[in-house]
Amino acid sequence: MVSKKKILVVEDDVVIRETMRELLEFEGYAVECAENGEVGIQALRRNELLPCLILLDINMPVKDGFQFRAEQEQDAVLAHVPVLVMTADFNIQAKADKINAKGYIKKPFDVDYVIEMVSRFCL
Amino acid sequence: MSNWDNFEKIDILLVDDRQENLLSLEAVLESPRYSLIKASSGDEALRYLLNNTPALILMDVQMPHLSGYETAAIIKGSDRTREIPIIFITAIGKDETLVHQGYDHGAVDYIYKPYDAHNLTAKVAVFADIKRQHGRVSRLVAVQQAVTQALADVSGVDEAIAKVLRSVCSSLEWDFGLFWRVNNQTHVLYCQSEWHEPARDAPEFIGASFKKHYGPGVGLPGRVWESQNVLWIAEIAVEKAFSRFVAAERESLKSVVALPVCVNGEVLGVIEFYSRKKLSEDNDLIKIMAAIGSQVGQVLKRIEALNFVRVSEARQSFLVEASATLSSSLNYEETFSTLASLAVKSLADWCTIDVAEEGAPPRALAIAHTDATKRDLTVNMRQNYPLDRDALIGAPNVIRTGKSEIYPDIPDEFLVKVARDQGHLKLLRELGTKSAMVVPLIARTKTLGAITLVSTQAGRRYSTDDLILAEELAWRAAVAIDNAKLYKDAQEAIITRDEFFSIASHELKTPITALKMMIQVTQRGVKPVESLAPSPEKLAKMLDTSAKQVDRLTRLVDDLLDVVKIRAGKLNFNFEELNLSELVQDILEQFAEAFVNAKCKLELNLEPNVKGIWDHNRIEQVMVNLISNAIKYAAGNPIVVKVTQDAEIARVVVQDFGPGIPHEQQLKIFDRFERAIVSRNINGLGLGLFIVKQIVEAHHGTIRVDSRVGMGSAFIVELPTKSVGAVLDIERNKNVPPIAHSAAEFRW
Repeated sequence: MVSKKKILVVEDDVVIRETMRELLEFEGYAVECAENGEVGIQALRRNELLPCLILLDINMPVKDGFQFRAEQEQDAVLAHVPVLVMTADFNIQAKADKINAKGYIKKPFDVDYVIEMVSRFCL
Repeated sequence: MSNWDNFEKIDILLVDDRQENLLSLEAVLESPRYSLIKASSGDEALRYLLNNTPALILMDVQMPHLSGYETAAIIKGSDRTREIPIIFITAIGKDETLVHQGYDHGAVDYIYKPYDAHNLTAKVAVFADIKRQHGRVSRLVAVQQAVTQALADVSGVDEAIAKVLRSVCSSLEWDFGLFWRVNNQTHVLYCQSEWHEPARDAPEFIGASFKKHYGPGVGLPGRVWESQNVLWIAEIAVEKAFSRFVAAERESLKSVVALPVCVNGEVLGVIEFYSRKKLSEDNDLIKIMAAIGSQVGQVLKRIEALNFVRVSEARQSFLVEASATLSSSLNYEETFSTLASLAVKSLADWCTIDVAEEGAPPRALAIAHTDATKRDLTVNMRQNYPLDRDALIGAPNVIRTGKSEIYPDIPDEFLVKVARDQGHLKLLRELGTKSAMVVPLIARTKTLGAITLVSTQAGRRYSTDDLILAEELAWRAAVAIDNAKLYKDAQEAIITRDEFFSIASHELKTPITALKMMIQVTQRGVKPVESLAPSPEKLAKMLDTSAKQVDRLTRLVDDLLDVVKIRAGKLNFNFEELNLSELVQDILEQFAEAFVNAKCKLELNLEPNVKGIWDHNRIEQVMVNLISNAIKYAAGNPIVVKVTQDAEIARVVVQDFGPGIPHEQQLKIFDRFERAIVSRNINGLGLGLFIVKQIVEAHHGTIRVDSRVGMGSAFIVELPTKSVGAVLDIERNKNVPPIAHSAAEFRW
């Protein structure tokens, strides 16, 4: 059995999060979801199989995208997992650069674009 | 005895060729009042007269070589000696023609030998007196001339006074002089300047005088002011009423003459001259002093008239310059420091500008001083002795009343009275506060603050003219400050608005993103060519979720509109009887699913039938907001909702056991879109609690949060059950945020 490529979606909006899961699962990925940075970082640490990509929202309760990324980068095991920032903020490029992300997906997005971006990281 | 009698001797020239006659004359006339010069011939007499002008000549008629008459003829031939009276001494039995010859030669009298000693001394005394009178008059004339000369080309009051004091002291040998000036505002005399002979200073007495001021009729200067007469005190020691008695004693002052400086019956000031010698009253000198007083008065009036023109021109150009300088910057803080330095440049030695602070003492925004080290002192003083908000004088009072204050003369007693402690008094004395004005900064009927102007120079006392100038400057400054403030507020409003747009667009994009995803995912499942479509169940669920995103969008837009309405003061209410218990019950039923999804256990404590006159929809909005917040923040923890009534107050408590709110953020969360919270941890516009607070306050209610980090938060809403809707519009306008007055210029 070929193990599916895994993607971690960290997004506080339940509709976006669950629709993203549905979309990516349909595309053949294994999807793990977290509703904030804290849950996200725990999910990363819990699983032996690291995702090929993290889709990361910025504005979230409890622990936001910046805090999540900071903790991720501090953890040598997790640090290399690429991150795509996913936000509606104006200065998304600057924010992506700030947390050393591989790129960004600006909300609201086209699902085709999300699929294409994801496929670049999860061949 | 007038004051120069003490040291003046009268010169008398005795001319006789016989030594025994000279000795006999000398014996008869011997007196400390006379200085007797002997000449044994006409030649010798003439030689003496080349360089001297005696008061009187006693001359023998019959002398060898040059007779008495011949000598007299020569004396009378010289302009310088013509006026010297000559008394001839001749032997008895000479005929009348000879006597006439004597008179022709300028004799004023004859004495016949052998003379009667008494007769001789009496006659000499008469002439000596004439001479003495003549000397007095010429001295008095000299004093007056000196004063006239001193005043000839003066351009300033201080200069004029200094010259008069000096010339009078010098020519009459008084020790020092003081000039007291009448202040027309306070109607008191204060000591403005002094002049003393270098070796005759009286620092203690002069110092004491500078600290005094007198009303009309009070003290020596006051009595002179009231009576408009020269007053002479020959013996200060016996003058019990003399108010500076102790200081005068210490400086061994014996006599004083005080004269009014007046013009057209108006007393402008008083001059005092002091002497350590006891000097008896001298009526002639008193007349001269009176004349000097009116001469000085005229000069002062003329200088003032000239100065008035000069000053009003200078003031006008100062104000024009001030306006230009003040309006050159739109920076609020900068305008204050510009104003302070302008004031120090022209109006004061030290200037403090205080701005009104709500519920707190005025805050010093700018302090300027001509002397940099003194500036540090003033800053230091304000730090250690902040203004008392309720002070009855000074900046707090001026800010409160909007009315100026002027303190032309600040005597030491005043400082003692206002000082809070010894340290404060020391600072005040060190700063040398002499005169002060406090003027309000009023723009558009609102008192923004006050300018305190202080003079530390003994010579500079503030007058009504100064006050008018200060008020004019304050008025111009207030306009500039108001403009700068409007500009600052406008800038802030623009920034706030930009932030709002940024946040609003961000938040609106969340449901749009969700909606767009739902539609696109659905689209991907629908393949008409292959006749493929998602199952009806799935389709129904997707459409339902999509519809909910539209609802979310609608709520956000409603919130935005509410904020716009609140800012415009147009949030409308429809007050009616409302059963709060039932309302909360209904809302909780609607949230049942959300509670389950968030794994929150609801604990409900509902007192039935809590009713009041409230707006149904708005109160519902409040409750929905608080409950959905609790679910959002405290997922996985229980939520407590209580509705109770206490007398005429209905109370709703929504308590969660989530992360809690840090203390410093607890007040901010009711502000419009508090960004610190919005941008990091909370979804939603952050408008919710702002709107909730506005609604609750429009009902005359209160909302507060009781929260500790890690322990959760309790939001407590209290509403009066008998809310009065009619006054709400007015009341609500008070609650519009502080930048509201400039908000009207910005349409969202």
